[in-house]
This record gives sequence, structure tokens and C-alpha cells, in this order.
Amino acid sequence: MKNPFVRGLAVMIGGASAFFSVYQGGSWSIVLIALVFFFLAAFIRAESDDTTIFIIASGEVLVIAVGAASFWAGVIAQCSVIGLVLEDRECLADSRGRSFFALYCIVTFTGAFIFDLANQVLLLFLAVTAVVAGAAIIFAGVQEIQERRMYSGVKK
Amino acid sequence: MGPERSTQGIWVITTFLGAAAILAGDPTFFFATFSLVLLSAALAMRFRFRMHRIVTSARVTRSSDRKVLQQGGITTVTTGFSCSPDPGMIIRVRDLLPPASLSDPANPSAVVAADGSATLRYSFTPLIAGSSCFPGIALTISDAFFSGSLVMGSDPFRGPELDVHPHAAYERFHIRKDYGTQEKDAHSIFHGYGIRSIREYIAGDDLRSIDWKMTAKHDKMIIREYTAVENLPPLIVLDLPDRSFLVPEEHMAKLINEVAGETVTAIRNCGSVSLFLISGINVIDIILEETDVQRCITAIRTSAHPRFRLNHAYRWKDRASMRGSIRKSGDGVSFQKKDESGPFLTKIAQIYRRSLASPYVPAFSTQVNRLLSSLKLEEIVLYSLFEGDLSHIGEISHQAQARRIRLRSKTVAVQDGEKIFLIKKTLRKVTMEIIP
Repeated sequence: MKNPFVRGLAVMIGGASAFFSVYQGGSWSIVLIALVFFFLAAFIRAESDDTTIFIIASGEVLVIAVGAASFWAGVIAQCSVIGLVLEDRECLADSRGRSFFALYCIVTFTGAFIFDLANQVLLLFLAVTAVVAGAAIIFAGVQEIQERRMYSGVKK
Repeated sequence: MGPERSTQGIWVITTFLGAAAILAGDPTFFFATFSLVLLSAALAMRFRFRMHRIVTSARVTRSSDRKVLQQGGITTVTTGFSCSPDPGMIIRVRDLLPPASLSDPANPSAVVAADGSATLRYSFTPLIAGSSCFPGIALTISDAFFSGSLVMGSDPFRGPELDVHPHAAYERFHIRKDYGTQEKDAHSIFHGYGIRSIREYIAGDDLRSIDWKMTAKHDKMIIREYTAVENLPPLIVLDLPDRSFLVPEEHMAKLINEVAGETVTAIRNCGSVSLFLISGINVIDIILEETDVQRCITAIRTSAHPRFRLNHAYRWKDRASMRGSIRKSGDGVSFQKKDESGPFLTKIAQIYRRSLASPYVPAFSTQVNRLLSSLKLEEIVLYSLFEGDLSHIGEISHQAQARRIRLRSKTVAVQDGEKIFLIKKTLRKVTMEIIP
């Protein structure tokens, strides 16, 4: 079930990070426009899939606008956007979902820390992204093959 | 496993961000792209974990009303499914059917309830003989971001095995009057053990049928003609009453139910059935050698109700009885009124002769003739309420007797003595059953 409190909290965190970035000297007009779009997407009544896409699209604009002024404010905004998406799709309803989000935030912060320290961001980005995507594809593929073999009913 | 629409949207945004990151070289763009890739990967792995949990907890119980059934027969199958569901996951279970079989509904499937259970109940019809085993289930699992499917055909999800006995093992229709010449029809591999006849061998006969003792005794090749089951589906005639007669609804309902039952039985036993729906001499519908029960039932349900008879047979000239009357009496005519004078009888005889001389053949008579010619029949089952004019029934009865086709008639509750007399007169030697 959707929790309006969690939704409000996620939007507030996104807003707070936006104001923090303006305080740091960012372009307030771009941040303000991005923030308005993010608010609209957060409370729009549309089909679930569409809402998810709206939140992500407007959220990423906000993250980039905020991150231009303050990188770590952008990281926090990103976590709030993903939190809002997961809450919208009712993924935070149980403790497993909340643990999943917490783990995601930890890994995101770790990744952000690495990006912040790196001198050559492009190579690092390609490497880390390839590792993450490859790990997911291999894990999902292997498990799918195992399940199909296990339940195919073909006698070996 | 495949992405849902929202995930596809995330991937499109990620691609744009990645391109922008490479062009701009800004760490924020790189981070945003990375975090979305990480989100997709994390959601995919989460989905696989949850799907694995559901799949490993899945249990199936399947039962059939009958373990042994006839080819083309119907049994009801009940499949129970249970698992440990995860919140937010939509699980759809579909029962897989053995090859060459039918089910109603065509793809038995159900969405698993919140408690993780689902029950599928459907009718199952095997089309080929032999053992027929249910091969398992197909699970389709989806959450907000991904969906996946899995066919579960291992032992716990298979079965039960049904024993399907052959049904249509029938010999093709024989034209027995042509004995002594080689029959055109190919020999059936199915034959009984009874001997229909013994005859001289003709080139092309099956050598396995040679009767060696008779051959030795008569010094010429003698073969045995074995008996076999012949599959001749009946013709069911439903005579619908005229709308101008008041017919009790329960009588009509009984009649239709009985016709539907007879149709189903005929298809089950003979493989097909022919339906002839009439209202007096008005032909409503003709269905020839139909094998689909549903189509027959639909035709009966839609057509079988009292009809306005557009054409009537009150002035039908019964040529057979006219000819019979003239033949019996010679020059005069045997008429019920014995005390009538000769001129009257002579006049009637003249009228009869004139009627017989004109080439008058009613359309209904031609239709019945064509229908009976086009079908190989042993039996006609006639359902009627015997209300109003019965000339058309007399015509069917007459043509059936001429072709040596057995005619059974069934009706609902006839109490009037005069009516019974009239029906018996119309149907001549036909047996009549009263539907209780």
C-alpha cells in the first residue's frame, strides 16, 4: 500500500537538496523548474508505469541541476528520486523492500564516493557500469537456466 | 525474463543520460547514469530472487473425474496450485494440456490469490487414444519492473495419466448387395470376430481372411467376411410447434433438453450427428454430420422455440394413400361413408386420379428426400409435440419406411385419446416414447 508520508518525505528530501544546491551557488531558475516538474510527477495521477517514467525523467533533471552546484546534494536527490519510485511501486511496503532500498543507497553512495575521487571518470564509469550490468545479467541468466533445467521434466 | 514498460522507460532515460555523460564529461551525469544502471541491475536480481522463492515453494495437485475415458469423451479436471507469494508479485498459473486434446476454456489459467492459492477447473477432451498425461503447468510471474515465465514439467507437477480408449474404430460403410465383386472401400484394420459371410476369393482380398479348411474342402479359395461395428450416426428431427398453438413452456423445455441430450449421446457414441429442425413443412435448420457438440447445442438453443409456420400442409395431397385407396377398391374407392351412393365414390376416384396425374411434388417432400439420400442412416429420431397438422410427420415416416430406416418418435405427455389415435395413424408402425 502506498504510504503518503514516505512519498512526502522523499519529495521533501529532493526539495531540500535542491535548496541546498541553490544555497551553494547553483542556478536557481533551472533548479526551480526541475523541482516543479519533480513535484508534479510525484503527485500526478497516471498509470503506474507512466508515473514511474515521469518521476525518473523529472527526477534525473533535478539530480543533474542540483549536482551541477553540489555533487553530494545530487547524490541525495538521486536517492530521494529512487526512493520515490520504489514507494510509488509499493516496493517499500515490507522490511525486505526497505532493506533493499537501504542497500541500494549504500552502494550508490559508495559509487558516488568513487566517482568523486576519480581523476579519469569515463573509464571508471565504463568499468563500474559494465561490472554491475554484467553481474546482473550473469546472475539472472544462470538462475533462469538452472530453473529451466530443474523443472523441465527431462530425465537425464 | 523480460522488462516491463516502466523498466523500458528507465533504460531509455539511462541511455540518454549515458550519451550526455560521455559528451559532457560531467561527473554528475556519470553518477546519474550509473545509479540508474545500478537500479535496473538491483531490481532484476531482486526479481530473480523473489521468483526463485515462489518457484521453489510451488505445489500442484491435479485430479480428474475419470481415469479411464473414451476418445472424444469429456472429463472434468481440477488443478490446485499453492505457493508462498511475495507482496507486489502477480502470479498467473496455466495448466498445460497433453498434445491432441481440447479443453473448455481453451487455455485454463488463473491468477494466484493473495494467499498464494489458485484453482483451475475445466473440462478436458482427449482426441487420440492411448495414455494421456498432463505435462505440467506454466507460471508467469511479474512485478512492477520485470516479468518472467517458467514451464514446470517435472514429476511433482505432472500427471495424472488418463487411459483413453479408442472410439471411432469403425468399419466403413458396406454395400452388401454388391457381394461377389470387389468392394471399392479400402479394408479397415478393425474388424470383429463374428463372421458375416463366407465367399469365394477375389483378387485383392486380404489373404489373412482366407478360410483354409473351406478352401481345402471345396478346392477353391474361400475367404471369411468378418463383421465389424458400423458407425451410422442418427438423424435427429425436431419438429417445432406452431406459435399459434399454446404450448406449455415446460413441455418445450423438456423437448429441447431431450434433443440436446440425444445429440450429445449420438456424438459421443457415433462421432457425429445430423440435425433437422423443422416447424411443420418449414425447414428451420439442417446440420449434417456435425461433430462439434457446442455447435449443435448452440443451433438447438437458438432455433428451438415455437415458430410462425409460414407454409402449411393442410391441403397436402397424400399421394401414397390416394394410390392405395384406388388400388384397394379397383374402379370404386373404399371410403369411410359406406352408405354413400356410387356417384360420390366415382367422383372421389376421379379427383384422386386427376391429382395423381399432375406432377405435384411438395417442396418439403423433395427436401426430405434429398436429406435422406445424402445421409447413410439406420435410424431417425423424431421429437415433436404433435400439435396441429401432422402431414409433414407422415411424409417423414413414409419416406423413412420406404428407405427402411428405423424411425423412433418421442414426445411429451400426450393424454388426449383422439390425438393418440391420430398420431398412430400418421406414424403407422413407428414406436412412440413419452418423455417423462
